[in-house]
Amino acid sequence: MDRKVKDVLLNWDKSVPEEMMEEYKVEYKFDGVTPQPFDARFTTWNQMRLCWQNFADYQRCIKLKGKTYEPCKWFSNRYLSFCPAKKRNKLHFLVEEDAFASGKRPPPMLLEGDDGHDEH
Amino acid sequence: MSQWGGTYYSMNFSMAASLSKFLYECIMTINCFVLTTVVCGLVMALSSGRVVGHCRKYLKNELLEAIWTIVPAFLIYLIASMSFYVLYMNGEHKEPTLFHSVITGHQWYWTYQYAMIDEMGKFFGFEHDSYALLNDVPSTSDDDTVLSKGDTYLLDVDAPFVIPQGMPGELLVTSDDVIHSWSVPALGITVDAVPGRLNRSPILASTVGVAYGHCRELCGVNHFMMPICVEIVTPATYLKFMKLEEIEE
Repeated sequence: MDRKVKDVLLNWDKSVPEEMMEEYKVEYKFDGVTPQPFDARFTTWNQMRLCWQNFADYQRCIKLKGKTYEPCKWFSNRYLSFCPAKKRNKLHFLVEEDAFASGKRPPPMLLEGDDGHDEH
Repeated sequence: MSQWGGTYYSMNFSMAASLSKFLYECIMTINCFVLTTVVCGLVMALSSGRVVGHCRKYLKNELLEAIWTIVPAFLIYLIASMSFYVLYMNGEHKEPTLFHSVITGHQWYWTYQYAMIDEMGKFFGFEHDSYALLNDVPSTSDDDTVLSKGDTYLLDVDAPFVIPQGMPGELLVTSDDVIHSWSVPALGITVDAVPGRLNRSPILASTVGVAYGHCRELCGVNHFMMPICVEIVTPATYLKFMKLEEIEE
């Protein structure tokens, strides 16, 4: 169970069938610009949480796959678009000081033998 | 834009502003009708008081009571339906957003942060401050907040905020010190800038032009001198502007 979840999460881009990806492609086009869809996780007027979440996701992504992995750019673009400069500098400072707790390690479910309950 | 000696609202640059103006005009018409009716009725009732028996017409008059219950209820229903229409038309865009801008309020200037992703997925972003043009003579050698001919005092800024026309976007407004409020009536937008919050507002400018606004929340002694100047340009110009700034960095 644990390994299965890990495989799916690490290779999500390969596990989705191509026909399905085609179906969910955004049809709205504007020359020279990539549209950014509405994030339904953050429906409130306050978007500070979206900024933090995408930054944390970016840190986790580069921790797992490395900075050269193309899909990580999605998160970085997203947090660069949304975070005010002051907040962004603060988050970068935390990462530099090795004090950004959420980006330090991948989510617990991805760590082998971390959770004793699933082993038996 | 607003003009000298103008007594009415400034020109609309977005659907939101047009709808707000439409709502204002409709409600004002109904208000005028109500005011006239009530004043006429009152004057009639008061002036005919000396005639014996006249006021008996108003007592236990079921038809009159039915009318003054049904007509105001209908008017309230009319106002509510128009308000809800405008409220929901000014909500989210149907299309996904094409650009994001983070606006940060400071004592006493605005910082504009631009973000856009091009067709290749490359991120373009930069930021600049926007100060009011206050001085007639430059105070230092590199002072660029000097009024030149044609600039409006306390409305024009050294670096205006640039948005594209016809592209749905999103404004994210926050503050670094005290509460400010980013307001441009011509675009139909007023968003409070609260420290620690990132308030979102959809924006879609319909025409090209220059719109002005002011800080709408009392934020200190120099509250009057942090104006907002928005330059609405064509999408092609906006794309050039975004990429030009990136190359300069």
